[in-house]
Amino acid sequence: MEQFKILTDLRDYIKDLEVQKGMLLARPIPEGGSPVFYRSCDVAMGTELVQGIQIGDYCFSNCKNWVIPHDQMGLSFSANWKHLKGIYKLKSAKNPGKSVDVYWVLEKADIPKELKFVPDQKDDRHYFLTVTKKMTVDDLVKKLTWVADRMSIIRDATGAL
Amino acid sequence: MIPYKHPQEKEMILRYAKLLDDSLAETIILRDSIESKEEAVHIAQFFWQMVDRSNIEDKESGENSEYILEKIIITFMAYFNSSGYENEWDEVTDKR
Repeated sequence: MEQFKILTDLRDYIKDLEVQKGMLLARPIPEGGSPVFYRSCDVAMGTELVQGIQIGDYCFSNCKNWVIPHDQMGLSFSANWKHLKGIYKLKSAKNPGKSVDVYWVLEKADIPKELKFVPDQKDDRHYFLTVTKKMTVDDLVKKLTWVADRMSIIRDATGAL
Repeated sequence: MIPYKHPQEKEMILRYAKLLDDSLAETIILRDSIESKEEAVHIAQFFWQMVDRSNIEDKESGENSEYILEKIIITFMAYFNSSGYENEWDEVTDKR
């Protein structure tokens, strides 16, 4: 498991990984959080979560038991250092005193059937982890858990300085 | 046009423009476009001021604005990049 003590370490580590393995898709996550699910404390009061999934991230059926395919909706991932840096700095600013680890997966990695990484039409440095076929929320949760279990982590050791 | 994905993004930005008494930010957001490098720097600085202020507001209200701020930064980064102001965004963000 890799660590970074300053942000340029993270930048260099990610650039090396990209040279060796191809494009990475990354999510900075404050300590205690899941790389793919939200807790009620992570969201605004009154925001509805369905089994840890934000209503705004996926296209849900009216009954909220189903997730409908949409090629511009899904969990957000950064595909570029500058994009990741912005999200990382935001997460750090919103979680003072907490470390913010970076979870990543290769863009070309095998992911569960009926999930697909799709670039944001408005910014190809940003990707959505979309669903390509109507599925139950239970199925999406299983597939996202599978992805989370296979994500690699670069630990934030900035607090150790 | 600034490519908001959720209407709550623009509502929150305008609410903070008022809270921070930033009439230039409000004008730019209502106009829906940045028209100079100076305006780009101003909006990038405004974004990070909004983040700092939101920590105070969240503490007072028990709210959590992180998710909507993430949507806003994704929208802003897309817009700055597509409209040729990526350097201005980076210049301000790197000072954080």
